Amino acid sequence: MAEERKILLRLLQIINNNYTESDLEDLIMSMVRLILPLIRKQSGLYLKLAGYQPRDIALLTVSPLFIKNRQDRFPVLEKLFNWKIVEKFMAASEADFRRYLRNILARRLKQTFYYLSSEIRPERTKIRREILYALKKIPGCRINKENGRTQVTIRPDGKKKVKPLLLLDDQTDRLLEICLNRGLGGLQVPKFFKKLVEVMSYQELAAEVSLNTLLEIYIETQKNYLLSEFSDGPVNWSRPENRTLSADLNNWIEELRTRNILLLNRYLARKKIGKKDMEAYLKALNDLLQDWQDGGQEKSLYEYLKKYAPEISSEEYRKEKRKILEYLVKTSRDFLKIKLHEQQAASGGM
Amino acid sequence: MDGNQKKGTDQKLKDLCSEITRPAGYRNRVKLFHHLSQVSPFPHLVGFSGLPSYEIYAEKRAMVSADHNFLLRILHDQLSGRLEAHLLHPLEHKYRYAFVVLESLNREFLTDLHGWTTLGQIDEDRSLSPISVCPPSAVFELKPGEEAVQVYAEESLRDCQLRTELFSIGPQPTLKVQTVNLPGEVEIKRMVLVIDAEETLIAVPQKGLVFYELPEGARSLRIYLYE
Repeated sequence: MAEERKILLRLLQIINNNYTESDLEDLIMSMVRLILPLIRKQSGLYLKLAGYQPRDIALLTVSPLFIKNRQDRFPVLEKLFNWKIVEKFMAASEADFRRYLRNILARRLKQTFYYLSSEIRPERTKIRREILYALKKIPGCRINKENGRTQVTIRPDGKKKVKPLLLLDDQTDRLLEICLNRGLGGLQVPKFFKKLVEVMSYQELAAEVSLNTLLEIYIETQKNYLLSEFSDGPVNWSRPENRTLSADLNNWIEELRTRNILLLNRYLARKKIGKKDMEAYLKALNDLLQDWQDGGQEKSLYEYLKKYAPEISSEEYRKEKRKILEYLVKTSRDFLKIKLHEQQAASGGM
Repeated sequence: MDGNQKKGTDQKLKDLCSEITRPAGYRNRVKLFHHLSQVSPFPHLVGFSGLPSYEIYAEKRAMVSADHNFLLRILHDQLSGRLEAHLLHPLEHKYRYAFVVLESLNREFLTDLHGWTTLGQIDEDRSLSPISVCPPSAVFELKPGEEAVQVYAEESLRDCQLRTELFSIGPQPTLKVQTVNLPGEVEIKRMVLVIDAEETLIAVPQKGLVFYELPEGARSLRIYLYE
């Protein structure tokens, strides 16, 4: 009997309050089986890093249907599949019911992903938001948006007569040094930046840097703190899996770098790019790969490239460079996708 | 998927099914014993106000906990033929929304605000022993736009908090409830949401999470945790 027909019969038994535990088990199993391929298709690296397996998502999607009331009924399930609907599909073709069921499960799956978004959103994006929120509350900090980039100006104390030394994006080492030397590691975002501004005020420093620079400084300080404080500490339950994933990811990225060099060498051989361009492409791709590892792309591809080829204008980029860079990014993304799918298939995706 | 993983997944699904259909293995359940000498001929006088007269109900048996704090009265509704149960305890959070577990039937029943639950038409000789009760281990109150506030908790769940989020997408608002700061050895077997003291939704948490679909206009919410 087709899976959908089986589901329909089980639903009928539930509506009639004439079901056994094994009927319910069959129903849940069938729904999970139907939903798992959809999850595997949609699940990416973020899901894994957030500690959710496709099976968890399937259960979280299906379980609200099986919330009972005091009368031992399933109100959500019985609303979605009331007697009228089930009766209609008993007379209709199986394909119609399959479509209806898949639509319902797909919609509920989408909702589950939405409800879990705060847990599975890339960590860097969350931190960026927290930094923005914290900076808005600290006196002396101003946030400007210029050409899609978020710039932060920190002028801790405007009353002092001595002009503070202004640090720009290329002098961020000094800021990082302050964070590390003053032991700001381990602090949460609001306290971290409050303390940083205090120290800057004391040392008569000001800064005009991008939000991404501050994000990097925060992450770098935390990494340093974790490495120095907790390297021998206890590991939590989800750590071994993430560690394997992280090791795999590092290997894939190394492989990807080699592939990108080969690809760019071909462009070079055909004189489509120069030696200097090749280096810029490679460095930009390296940054992008690093951002993917840390949670996601942070800026436009043009900005990644411009960092290493400052002379290129946006028009020049659009005319000559974009096609190549987008191709390289696409092949890199496809490569990682294939690797992730292979890994999921090897582990059964569960 | 290799054999072991498939087995693990199937087992997890089976666990969910059995958690939905059978009573959970509650950690803090209290076993009840027959209380032979104290069957009252006037059940309506004990704990019921405004309920039908004693001619309608006949007390079948009374059960007590070892410390004599819990008293469960099983009554027979002569009109409908159903069995009803009334749980009493000196402390209200012990009888309100407590699970009454009929172990021989593998079924559980949730009491209401007054400690009352309907057992239905069951074979009283075979079903009414052994019985245990599981009161909530923690109770939280949630008002719109506010955080969940703990109103009662047993020692093990004193530090437990609930993280809640309300989503308005989809046909009905959905409440996401997640337990935070649970001690390692504690597992929440059931999470019960009581909406405006009327509607009750019983959920089996998955990864400490439950998504409740709320009726529109729900104002006062209480969440009960059972371990």
